[in-house]
Amino acid sequence: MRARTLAAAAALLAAPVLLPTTALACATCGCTLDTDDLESDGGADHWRVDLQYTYIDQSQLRSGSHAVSSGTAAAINDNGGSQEVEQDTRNTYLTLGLTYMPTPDWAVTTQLPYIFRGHSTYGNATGDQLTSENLSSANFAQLGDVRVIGSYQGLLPTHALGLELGVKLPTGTYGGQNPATGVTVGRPVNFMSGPNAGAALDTDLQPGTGSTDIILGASYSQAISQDFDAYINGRYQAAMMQEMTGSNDFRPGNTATMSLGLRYEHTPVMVPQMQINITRRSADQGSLADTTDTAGTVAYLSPGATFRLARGVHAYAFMQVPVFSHLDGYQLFPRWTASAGLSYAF
Amino acid sequence: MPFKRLMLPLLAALCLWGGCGRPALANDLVLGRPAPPITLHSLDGRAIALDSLRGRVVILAFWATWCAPCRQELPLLSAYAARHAAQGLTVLGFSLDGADTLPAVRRQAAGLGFPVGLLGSAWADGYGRMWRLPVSFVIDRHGVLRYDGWDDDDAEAGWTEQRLNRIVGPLLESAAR
Repeated sequence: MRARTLAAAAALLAAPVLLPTTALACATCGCTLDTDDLESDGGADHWRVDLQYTYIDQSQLRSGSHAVSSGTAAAINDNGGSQEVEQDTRNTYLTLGLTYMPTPDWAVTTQLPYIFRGHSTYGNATGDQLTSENLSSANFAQLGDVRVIGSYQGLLPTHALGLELGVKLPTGTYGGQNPATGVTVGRPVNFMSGPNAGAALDTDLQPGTGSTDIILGASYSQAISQDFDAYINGRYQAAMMQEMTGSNDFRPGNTATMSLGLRYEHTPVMVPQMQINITRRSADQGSLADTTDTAGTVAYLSPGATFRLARGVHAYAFMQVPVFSHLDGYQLFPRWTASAGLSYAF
Repeated sequence: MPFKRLMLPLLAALCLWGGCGRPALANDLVLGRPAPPITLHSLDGRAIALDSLRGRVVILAFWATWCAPCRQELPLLSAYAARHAAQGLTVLGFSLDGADTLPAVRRQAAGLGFPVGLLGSAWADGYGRMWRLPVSFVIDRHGVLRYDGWDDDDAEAGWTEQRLNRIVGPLLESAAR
């Protein structure tokens, strides 16, 4: 599998910086500002609805910092080892976000992701078994894990600094099969075709992780010239409670993401941006986890732009192009990802 | 290749907007040329267009309630405007505050002798994005830009009596002759 969560984390945790937020900065002598919040009429007690589409096709098998062939992974099985040889994981996330801002300092956002995922694998095939008849496939379209995130921007009168505290809830279907005992827990999505038909799809490929995670974040934005803003954004997510415990346990790895960006603010009508997103993810843990093929560090270069379609209405589009990756074990990885969205503040 | 199909239009759009297709000017301000039009929508409901003030010397002052140097310069600016009103000086105050801080804007404006209004956006037409405060612009009686705050490093500290006398004074005197 695996880089499903790593690639998704990089794309989804970077998402909050796609849209401009309140950002003002004041020095002791002369003040700088980036007043995107003026676009939404300012004031207290208003809402924002955001619909985001994210596409991640993990079609490349990688190990360490390099691409490898399926045959390379299968050679481990040829030599008596045990290594899953995966072919492709294609993810589409349609995420509905609803933000309530009771005051200019506070905001609460609820994100509901609907996940479309297709996965295919050769299982623990040897080199001569890398044929289409040994390919097992699974597909699903289901609600994933909901996130509720509160943010506070009242530490500075200029709103330049924002803090986040949130939770990811186990609302998506979760489960898996213990490879040692064959015991199935939860209500997992199963493979639909191939030699593994009827068996549970990998636990970390299920719509949900079965864990309640804490989310911590911070952001800072600063106008650096009449036309440019710079910003930095960091997020950390870690599982605090798991539904799958005991002898059939699963805990998703912790994820930390940092984004550095530059916005070209020549006009509010179109704001091109360039981000660097760096994500570090630790390995999944537990008897249902693949502990050797889930950790890694990736960096994406992410060009994109935000468009103002009308007052309070924005569209945005971004791509993420991996510029660095160091992955434990063998993991499927995307050559690029894409995100686009519409947001309406009222 | 799907990646190229998606990237090329995006890069082309960014290139066209970001610099390949147009000069990288931050605003339309040129000293000695007509000042860009702008209208103040004042807190008391008036719409005061810069064009309607032809024949007067005009200071456009951009400020915010959370900006300490702004709060220092506003009373000084108000007093200067009152002293030179008979010579044809008008000050228009554009606040970068949002609607949430309107009460604070009203409190600040109550002590000023010139009209104040909310700008409503960080982009002030031909004056560019208001990324640094305070900033001011001075226009002569013919509607010509005579002072561009973006080009003055001292503008960040706000107006002083000396700077007003040096920059605005000659415009008032020459106009009075």
